[in-house]
Amino acid sequence: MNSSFFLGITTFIYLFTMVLYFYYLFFKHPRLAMAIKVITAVGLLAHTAGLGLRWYESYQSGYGHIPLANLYETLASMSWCMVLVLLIMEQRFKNVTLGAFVFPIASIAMAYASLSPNVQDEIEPLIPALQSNWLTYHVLTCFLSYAAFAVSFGASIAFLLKKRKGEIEETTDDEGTLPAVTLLDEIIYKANAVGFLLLGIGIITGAVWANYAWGSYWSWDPKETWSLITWFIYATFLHARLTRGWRGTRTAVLSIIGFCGVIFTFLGVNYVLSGLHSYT
Amino acid sequence: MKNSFMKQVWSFFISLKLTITILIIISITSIVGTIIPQNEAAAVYLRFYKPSTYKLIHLLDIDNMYHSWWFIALLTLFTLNLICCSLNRFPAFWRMMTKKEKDLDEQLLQTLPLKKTQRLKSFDHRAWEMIISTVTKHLPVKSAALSPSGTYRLFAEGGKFSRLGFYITHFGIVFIIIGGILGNLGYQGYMQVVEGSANDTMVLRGTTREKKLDFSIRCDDFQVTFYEGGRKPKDFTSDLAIIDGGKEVKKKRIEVNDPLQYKGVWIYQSSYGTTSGEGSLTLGVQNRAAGDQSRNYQAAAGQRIPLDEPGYEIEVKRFVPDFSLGKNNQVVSRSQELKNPAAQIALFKEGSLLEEQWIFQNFPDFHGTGKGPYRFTLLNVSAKEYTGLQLTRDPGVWVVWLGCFLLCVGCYVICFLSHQRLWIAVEPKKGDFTLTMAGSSSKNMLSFSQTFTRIQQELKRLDKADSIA
Repeated sequence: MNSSFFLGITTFIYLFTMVLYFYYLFFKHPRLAMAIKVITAVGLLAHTAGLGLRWYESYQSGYGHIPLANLYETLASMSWCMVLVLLIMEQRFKNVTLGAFVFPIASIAMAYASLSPNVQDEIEPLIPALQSNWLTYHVLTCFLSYAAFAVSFGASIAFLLKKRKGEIEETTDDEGTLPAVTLLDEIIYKANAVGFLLLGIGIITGAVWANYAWGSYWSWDPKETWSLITWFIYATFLHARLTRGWRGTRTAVLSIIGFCGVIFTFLGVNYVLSGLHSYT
Repeated sequence: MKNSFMKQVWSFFISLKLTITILIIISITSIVGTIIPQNEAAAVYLRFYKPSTYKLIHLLDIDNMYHSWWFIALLTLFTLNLICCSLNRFPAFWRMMTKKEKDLDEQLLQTLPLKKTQRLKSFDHRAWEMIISTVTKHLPVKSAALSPSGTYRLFAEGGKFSRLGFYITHFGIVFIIIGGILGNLGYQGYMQVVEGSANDTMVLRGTTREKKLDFSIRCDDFQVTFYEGGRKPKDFTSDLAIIDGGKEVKKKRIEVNDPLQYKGVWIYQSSYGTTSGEGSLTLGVQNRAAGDQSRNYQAAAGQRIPLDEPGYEIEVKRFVPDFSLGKNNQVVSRSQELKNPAAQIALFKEGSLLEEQWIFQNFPDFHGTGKGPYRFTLLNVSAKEYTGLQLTRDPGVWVVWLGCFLLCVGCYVICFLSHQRLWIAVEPKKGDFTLTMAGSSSKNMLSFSQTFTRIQQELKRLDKADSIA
């Protein structure tokens, strides 16, 4: 059994979890909520085992690096972060519906990593510039922020769906499966705040690292620029909410726009533009 | 009139609309900068754009937009906007920080979002102590006293300094921008140091200008290791020594991700290669007709030397350390290491070219196109490895880090801490008592209202405990 086996299993568990979430969304079934939690936890465990094994395997092939070195590894690690943050958020807000919006992203990322011919799953050596502990700090903070943004994106979609159904006023927990609008609004805010702080730290650790490796903390390379733009979008969200008192639909739309920025920063830049980060 | 004009200017600089507008303009122009290549030679742009379009791009500095006057102007406007917003909010902030909270009365109660009253049959000092200890569990109690009118009053608050978050964050950003501007007082440059020698002159980045350091850097040893079975470099290191005032003052082995610092100048391992210019080649020359012993000559690339036979000269036209054929069969060097050293030799007789041929150190029997009177071999290459160093002096970098630190702390404070206030008053009324509890939070009302409800629930037990007693 190698890492690919575990990560493959994980992909199937996640796809299955996604279906369960959808089912739960339409036919609320209290027992199903428990089952979803268990299966998600099992999936995350397999995922962790897969990533851990891959880390171990990289030492066996003589390279020895954290699985964040190429697109395959970053996709797998990012969806790991997403599921982890989702579990924490669902636990904190005592709600198990957000996964219906986050799992499609996490499982598509996994499936794309495992199945797409564009993604090489070989373990590759790290070029000297990437051999640094800052790689871990920088990439992990960025990915955790992406994960938080994914949760807020999920909550925003849920919010808009609920809004369309006309449930404007606060409804108590037992009405419908989706959380009450005020709770969703709170989740969107909290997740964005966490993501904003983490993305800020991610950009800064990247700058510190770049300064240590190349002697320049900011080069305006496309990935840097796009992460800054994404950060600006969420800054706008926070200003709108904290100083202008925006709530609901408008902030939900803002955080969906923000998440588009996240996707483009993560994938779009690599495919469309090129720069210092071209190896990730 | 003048006054109102100043007011208009001021309200322009303090508006959030300006902030958002600048952020949007910075974002959009930055996107343009990620699509149009930056800092390339004119030829690169002319491959993609019409000459007239390129003219426009160049005129507007879009080929170096992040350092253009208008982008700097945008950043300056943004900084001014931040500073003005901070100043504008200061009086209100200061009042909030220094004011003494009023006692809870009808008027204040009106303005507070959370309020609850309950009636108590009896109330005494012991019950009051219990209220204080209950509240203390959630919020620091600032004052608790019995007023002369017989009303018990309590005020508790926490996280007052979270209101500073706004300033911490925005000063952080201002510091980052100031640090970035200070960085322009420094420089970035590149230098090659041949193994075993020293250098003190660098070429400034993006220019051809040279800059002399007031110390020199010697490279004692350069090493490169490769991943097993591949051409991918695993690591490259240089043993550097700093020579200042004729003395060796510092030594360090640097590698990628581990630079050396001296007198505020950071020295980074950036690249490596082989000197082909000065490194001299040992050539073997054998007269084919005579079939005699091969004679050795020393020559460097570009050098023309006479052979022993009068009238004959040879020139090393070109030297490559790692010979390969690129596009259209052009000779290229695949790397900067001596993996497949090759030299292009030209033979002249009475000053006119007889023939040209490539010779290879690793393939001495390959004669290629050489059919002339002499047979050439490349016997030895004394080319040396050099280490490519990047040198940076940035006096603003610590201001930037301070700004980053403030930014993170400020964001944390803004997003996760809030100024929470809670009032409790117990008034005697017609034999029994009315307990009024009210509170507000500067942010995160949802979580504060949970705290509020919890305190209220705990205080409900007060009545039961009372009635049991």
